[in-house]
Amino acid sequence: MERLIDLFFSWDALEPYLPSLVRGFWLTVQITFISFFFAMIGGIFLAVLRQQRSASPEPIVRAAPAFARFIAVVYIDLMRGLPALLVVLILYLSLPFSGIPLLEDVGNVTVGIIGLSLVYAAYLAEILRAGIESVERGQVEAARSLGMTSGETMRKVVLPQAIRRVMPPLMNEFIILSKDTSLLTVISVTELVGAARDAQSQTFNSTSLIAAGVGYLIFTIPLTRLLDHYIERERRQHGAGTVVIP
Amino acid sequence: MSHVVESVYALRVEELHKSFGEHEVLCGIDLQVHKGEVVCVIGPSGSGKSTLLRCMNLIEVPTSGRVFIGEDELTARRAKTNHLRSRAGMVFQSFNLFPHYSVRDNVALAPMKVKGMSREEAHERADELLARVGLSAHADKRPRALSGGQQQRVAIARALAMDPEVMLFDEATSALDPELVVEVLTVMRELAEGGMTMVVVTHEIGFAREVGDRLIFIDGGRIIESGVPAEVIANPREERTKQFLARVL
Repeated sequence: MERLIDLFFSWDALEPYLPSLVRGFWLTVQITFISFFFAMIGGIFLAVLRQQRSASPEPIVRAAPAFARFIAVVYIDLMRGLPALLVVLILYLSLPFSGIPLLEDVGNVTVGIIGLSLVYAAYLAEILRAGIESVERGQVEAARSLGMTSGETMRKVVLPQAIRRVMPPLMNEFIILSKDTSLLTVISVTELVGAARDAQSQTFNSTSLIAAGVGYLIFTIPLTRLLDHYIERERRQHGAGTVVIP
Repeated sequence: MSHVVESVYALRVEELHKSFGEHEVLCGIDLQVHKGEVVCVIGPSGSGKSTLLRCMNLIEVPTSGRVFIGEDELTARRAKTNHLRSRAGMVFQSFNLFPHYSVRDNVALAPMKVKGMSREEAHERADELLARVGLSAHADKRPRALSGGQQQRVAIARALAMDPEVMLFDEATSALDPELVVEVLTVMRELAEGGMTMVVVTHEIGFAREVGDRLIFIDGGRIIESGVPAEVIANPREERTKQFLARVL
């Protein structure tokens, strides 16, 4: 029993590696936020691309938005269908030989962020699309009747409402993304799991892995609580959600 | 030598057709609205009256035909649609206020975005218009906090903020509780008295009779009858108009 306790909860085994674990934690947090930021930009772009429609009766004019939709659908299907790990690996192993000026010599962390952003953009796009479609047609009609362009209408009227409505699933993706950053250990990024693994391989003691687990929970549990709080507030304000009749 | 002919029409519709798939909703509508004129449009549900109004600022794209605001053709191939649209203000049955903005910002948004007004300027103008529809006290609230009648008055102020040449009302009072209808009709009446050109799709026959300069009865996508409201209402010439009026009066 004592041996088990020592295996998982040994302060002595953990202590020398704490600084590197903290660095790993910090890197995980950074990668999560930066990847999510770019995934949101990509996701909004894809979602809007998927929404393109032309009111014109002319086939040639209609072809452009149809092509835009097609591109978006292909991208989303591709990125949702492939394992994030494979996407990251492909980038990591191919970019150095690609001859593409800036991308040729980026670091591991950057490659990881690019990979995760590309994959999560596809997931976020689908969520955002549902949000955009949930905004009543009358909102767009009102904005357009005031002379606003379709772009202004999207930015000022549709997207703010859409994002608010899909906040819970977006936050969910954020939490999943924070955990998926651990995939980057395979391209030797020493984020939280990587740092813990390094410590374990030196000491053959698992406390560092437990500590890494605690690190994720410190990050994700407040977020889930925050999310619940947000949903409750929205429910009170807008009367959405489960109805309780006494 | 050239000179600009000032049009007497605020809005013109020529040979307007609109089909949804196989179903033809508008079967060739011709309509000229004089500056300062109030045209009320009545007709049974599904007659095409709302579609006609929505075609007037291209929220619905006509299948064929032409729409003019002033002298400018909205349906022209290279028309600056966004700009032209802003010259016709629209008020919807379901208000369609922006729920994520305050009442003041609802009114100020389009002047800032479309007219390039500064925030201060747009807010000042918004406050003016809100005072005009009697809602100064509610400027900082969200639309949700207002009654239906108040929301519709905000929607009118929002449309007026773009200084439109013509106002289009699409059953503006149909979604309101009976006791709230009056406050909206009062604002509309004041607008008409101030010389605003208006096209009003409505079920309020009383309003059409008292405020309208012309009454148009539409059925089956065609203008069946048109004339001075009091006369059309008292002595409709067409059988279908008689039947409709008998049902709603």
